[in-house]
Amino acid sequence: MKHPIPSGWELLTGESSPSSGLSRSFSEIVRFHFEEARQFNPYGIRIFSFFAVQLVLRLFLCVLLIRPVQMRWQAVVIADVLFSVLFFVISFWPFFLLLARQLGVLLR
Amino acid sequence: MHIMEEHKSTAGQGLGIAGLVMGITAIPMGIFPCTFVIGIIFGIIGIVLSLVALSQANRGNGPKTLIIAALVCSIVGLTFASVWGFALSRNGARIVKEIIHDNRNGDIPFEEFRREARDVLNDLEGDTATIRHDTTDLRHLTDTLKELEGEPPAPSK
Repeated sequence: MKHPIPSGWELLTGESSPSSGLSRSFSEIVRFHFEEARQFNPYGIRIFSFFAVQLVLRLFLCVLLIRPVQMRWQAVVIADVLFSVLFFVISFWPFFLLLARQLGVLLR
Repeated sequence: MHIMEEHKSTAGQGLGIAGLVMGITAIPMGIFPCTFVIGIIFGIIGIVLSLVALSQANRGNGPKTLIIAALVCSIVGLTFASVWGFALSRNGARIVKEIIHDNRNGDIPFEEFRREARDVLNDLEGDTATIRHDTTDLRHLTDTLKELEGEPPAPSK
């Protein structure tokens, strides 16, 4: 079955990109087939973990909002933003490196 | 005692939220090479929505924090996607130039074009960081597929 979103990289170069296989990797992760997920894309697990943690965090913050909890919301929001940005950078780090290398090639 | 009601303006907040959603979506779309086109589209839409929201907030005295966050996210997502777009267009232009230079008749079959494009990209491997999958894992996967189809696996070297 063809993927509904065509890969811009593959259309332009005819080669598979470093992010190829992520959807299939996620599909294997939700079935707890971690070895197969790693084979589809070696970065699938770390990127999936980012989205899974974010989902849990959003649900947790929704629960806090609904229940009448007395807290300093400004501090909570700042902590949430900082943690999310840091975790995003860590999870997507291989792609940041790739992007930085491409930028270096472009600027040369 | 007068109790004065504060009228909080919500000018620009709706568009600001829409811009924020676009911007946050543009960031992972832009960072993946496969979906950089979607990152560019979402980034541009996010910037437009944020700018319109900002002008609405300025006129209606609404809060601007959310709108500025939306603008920042959209710009970041668009920047990531643009790097891939420039990199591919630069390589693509070089490929087209080399092929045109080599074939002045301009009559290039599609398979030959792809083969020559692949050759040029292989030459650029030293500059670009193409991440290769482990060939052992791919061979194992291919052998497993062959076994499922009833074919004998390839002899291991």
